[in-house]
Amino acid sequence: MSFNNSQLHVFAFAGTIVFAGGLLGATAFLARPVEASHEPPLKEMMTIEASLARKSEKKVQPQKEQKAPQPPPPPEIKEPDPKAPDPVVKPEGVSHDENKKPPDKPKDDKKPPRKPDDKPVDLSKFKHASDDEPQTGAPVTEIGQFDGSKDGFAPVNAGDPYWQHIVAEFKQIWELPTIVKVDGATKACFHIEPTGKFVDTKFERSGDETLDDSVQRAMNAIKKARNDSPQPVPTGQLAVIKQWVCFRFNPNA
Amino acid sequence: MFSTQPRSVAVLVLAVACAGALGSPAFAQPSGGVVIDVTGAKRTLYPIAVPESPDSDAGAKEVAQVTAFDLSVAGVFKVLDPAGFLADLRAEGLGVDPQKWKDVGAFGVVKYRATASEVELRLYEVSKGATAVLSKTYPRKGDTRSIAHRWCNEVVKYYTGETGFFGSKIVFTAKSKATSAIYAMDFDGANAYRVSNNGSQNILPAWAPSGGQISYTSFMRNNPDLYVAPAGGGRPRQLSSQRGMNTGGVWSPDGSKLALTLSKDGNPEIYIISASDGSIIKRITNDRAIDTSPAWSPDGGQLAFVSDRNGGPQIFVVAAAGGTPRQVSFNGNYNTTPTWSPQRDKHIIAYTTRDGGAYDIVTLDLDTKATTRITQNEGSNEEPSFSPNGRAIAFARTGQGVFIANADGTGKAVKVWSGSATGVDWGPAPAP
Repeated sequence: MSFNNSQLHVFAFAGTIVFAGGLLGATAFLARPVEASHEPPLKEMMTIEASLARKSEKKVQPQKEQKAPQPPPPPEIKEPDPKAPDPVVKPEGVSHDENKKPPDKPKDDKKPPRKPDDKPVDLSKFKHASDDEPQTGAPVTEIGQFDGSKDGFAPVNAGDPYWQHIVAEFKQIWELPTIVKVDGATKACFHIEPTGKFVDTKFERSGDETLDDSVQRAMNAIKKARNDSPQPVPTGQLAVIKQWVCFRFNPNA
Repeated sequence: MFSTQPRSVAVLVLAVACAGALGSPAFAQPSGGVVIDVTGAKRTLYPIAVPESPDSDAGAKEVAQVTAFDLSVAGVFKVLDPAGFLADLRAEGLGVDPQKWKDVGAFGVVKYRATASEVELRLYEVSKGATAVLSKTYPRKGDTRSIAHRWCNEVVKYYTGETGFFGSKIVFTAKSKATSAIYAMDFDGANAYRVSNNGSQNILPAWAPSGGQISYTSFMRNNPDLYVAPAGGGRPRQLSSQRGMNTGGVWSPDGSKLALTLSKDGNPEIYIISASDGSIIKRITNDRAIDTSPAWSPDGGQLAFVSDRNGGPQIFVVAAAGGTPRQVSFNGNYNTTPTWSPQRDKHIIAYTTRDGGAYDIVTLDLDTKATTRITQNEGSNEEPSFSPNGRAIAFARTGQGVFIANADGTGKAVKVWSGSATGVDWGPAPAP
């Protein structure tokens, strides 16, 4: 059975009317006002109370000042000797067995054994005409022989941990009474051996007797402490101790 | 082209020689490396030694004992333990071997020699050698305590420029089961004596600025009236007997007025009365709250007091001429018994605060608003009073007695009197 265009249009129009009417009816049904006699099911409802709360800041009474515990001295800083072998890693635990043999010293396996048929490396090709002439005479075995020729040392060395450790020790030891008003700066210089021992001191006074006295006390204490437990000077700083090593004490800086 | 005359050659040779000499290492300037700076010394108390004199009589031992105590509570000294002294005191006599005292850590040494007629004292700074920096000789009349106090005031003045408080007195209320009486004593607890002499309750004593009189509230006539008595004790005169309370009287810095609490109108309020006849000069507060515990500023221009107008008791400050009080304490909800530091360049009030269940002493800097705790975890401490130079604070510790502590909160409090005490007030500096 087939329909012509006009019949199709009629059917479409009718369908549209029916569809729209259905939608309208559903909407009207759902939007109908609630009957006044309908009571909310209070027994079935749970009342929830909500309120805004703000966390109050806890006010703390001032506390009595306590003396801060003395900080532990900074850890010993030793510059590693590049020539020394790698440290031995100790096994876990401690053995109390007196008959137990100590572990064998680990073999230095960094350098492979030279094969008999290896040819030595020829360095002559790396030489230049401007290279220094070969050294003559007895070799110098002591680096940093003290000559006391001048004070101080280059800025690049001042930040070395070895010297900063000494500064930290001074700051622990150097005391000045609060009621004493001092002026100026005092310089204390040391002759230090490669072993780390302080063998000689030189003192430049500021003119303020109390300041000078306090620095002198600190010098004596550091010298005694360092000589009782000397800390070797790192290789990179051996040239520095060829001169006086000086520290300038200024309490007002 | 060059002259071959001998003189010219000599000049040329000399010039070359000089140039060579100046360029030689012997004349070279050091390359001037940087010296490591060590800054900020540890600031400490001044270590001072006070050895007993072996040349003095037994009674003169008090000189060393009192001197050692005075310097230890001055707030700036650390008195060294005599057990560690290395010097030969008999060989030294009145002098010192500086190195022997440096070896025990002393920066200063006090030496003395007492005879029947006089006491000679010397102060040494070991950094300055064996020459005394301060010497005094006092005639020996009666006990040696007062001599030691006067000497210590000189020592404090030498180092700080301030007048010491040694030789001053403290007045307080000593409580017994049934009564409470007014007592006065040397600041170190010595020579305590009774000021009030009645079988009633006597409370809240206060020194006149001259040190010659003490005011206090007494119930001897069945009403809390204000009385003024000679500082040495004796018959008091009634100064204020208004209906109700006449309590907490405190003297103005010039001694002409007193501020106190009167409740004649039904509510405790702060008033100012005349020190001569007790007549009311001015009413300072007018509020439904309880206003009490007035305290004068050192210049006499302001009054601190306690009021609960904003809830719990807090400290307020108002102009002595009258005006709107402003609250200055805000820590916690219970702050009472204010007292003003006598140091005019600082605006500091000490008061009692309640922290948890305990009472402690704190100071408040009115300029910076910084608070400093004077006592903590040391019992219940109340009613502070500054020393004449403001470096120490006296207060009462419940059930234990009267204590003094550093006003900067450092160190521990020292007991100077044992017993049940309240209402502590530190008197003026002694006459030089």
